[in-house]
Amino acid sequence: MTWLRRNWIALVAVAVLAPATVGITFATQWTEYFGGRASAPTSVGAGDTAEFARADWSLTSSRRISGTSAEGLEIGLPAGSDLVVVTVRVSPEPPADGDETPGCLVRLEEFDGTSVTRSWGDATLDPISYTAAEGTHSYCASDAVGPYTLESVFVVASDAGDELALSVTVATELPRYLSFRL
Amino acid sequence: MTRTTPRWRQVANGAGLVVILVIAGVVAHTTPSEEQQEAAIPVRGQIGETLDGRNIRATVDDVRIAESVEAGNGWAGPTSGVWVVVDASVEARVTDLATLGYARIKVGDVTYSASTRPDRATIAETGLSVGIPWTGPLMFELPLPLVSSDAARHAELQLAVSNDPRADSMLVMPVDLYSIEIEKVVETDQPVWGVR
Repeated sequence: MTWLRRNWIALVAVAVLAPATVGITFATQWTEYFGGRASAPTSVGAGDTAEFARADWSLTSSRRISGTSAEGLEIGLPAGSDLVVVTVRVSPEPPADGDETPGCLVRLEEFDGTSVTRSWGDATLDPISYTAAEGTHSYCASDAVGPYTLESVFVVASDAGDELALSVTVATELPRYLSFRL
Repeated sequence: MTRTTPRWRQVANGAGLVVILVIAGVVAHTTPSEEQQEAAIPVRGQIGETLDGRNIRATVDDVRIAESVEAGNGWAGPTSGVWVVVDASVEARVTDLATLGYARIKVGDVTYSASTRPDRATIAETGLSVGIPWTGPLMFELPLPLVSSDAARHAELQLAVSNDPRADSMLVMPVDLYSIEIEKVVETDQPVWGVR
C-alpha cells in the first residue's frame, strides 16, 4: 500500500499516457488511410443536386436491362448478367483561364444496408454491343465548358440486388465522393 | 535510517523477473517473421471443387498434358517440353479491380507461370468481373523430365488476383501431373465470358 501511495502520480501518468500513445498512433494511421481513398460519401437522392468538385451533379435516370430480355440479347450481354445504365447531368462552373473541369471515376456499388458488398467498373470497353444515347459522354469531360450528360453503363451479375448506388470520385476531393442511390 | 527489504520480497522480485523473461522469450520465438506476416493466405481444395478467396472464386475442371496445343485463336505453340493445359472458370467476388495475375504450377521447389504466348486464347491476366466468370484454358510450359519426376505427383496449382498475392487469398489445388497421360495435341476453345 505504501508503495502505491508513494508512486501514485507515476502510475496515473502511465495509465493515461500508454493508451493515449496507442490511440494517437492508430488515429494518425487510420486518418492517412481513409484520407487517401473514397471513404466519406455524400448521398444524393433522386431529383436532388449536389455541388461537388466545382460542378453541380444530379441523377437524371437509371434503368436495368436483363441479360435474358430481347434488348439484353441484342446487346450481347454475357450469360448471368444485366446491364445497368445511369445518366447524370453535370453542370461545371465556368473554368478559370487555363483551368479544366475535373475528371472523375464512376463505379456502381451494391449495398447491404449501409455497407458496400460488391462494386463494378464502367463497361464502356467491355465486349458488348451497347450504343450510348446520342449526345452523352461516357466519361467526365474535363474539357467541357457547359453542362453535359454523363451516361455510365455497368455489366453486373444478374443476382445483384436492387440496393445500388453510382459513386463519383474526383481525385482532388478525396476522401469525399458522391453517392447517387438508384 | 536504512530499511532492509524483506527476504520474501527479494524472492518475489526474482521470480517476477524470471516470469517476465520467460514470457518475453515465448513472444519473441512465436512472433511470425515479416515473410510469414506478408505471405499469401492459402485456400486449399481439389480439382472440380469451387474455391472462394477474398476476391476470387475459381473452379478447375480439368488438367491435361500435351506435346503441342492448338488454341482457339489459331495459335499453335511449339515447345521443347510439354504443355500443361488447365481448364478453369474464374471470377472476382468483391471488386472488378482485379486480374487473374497469378496463375502458377509448383513442382517441387520450381514454380512456372501461365504462359502469355497464346495471347487472348487463355484467361491468364484476364480482367475479372464480379459474379460473371471467365471460362477458358491456362497453359503452362514445363520440361518433360519434370512432369515425369516424382515431384510431379505432388504438384500444386496456385491462382490469385494480381501478380503479388501477398497478404491476400491464394487458391491452391494439388494435381498429380505424373499420372496424367501425355497427349499428342490438345485443342482449346476461346475463353468465354458468362455464367456456364
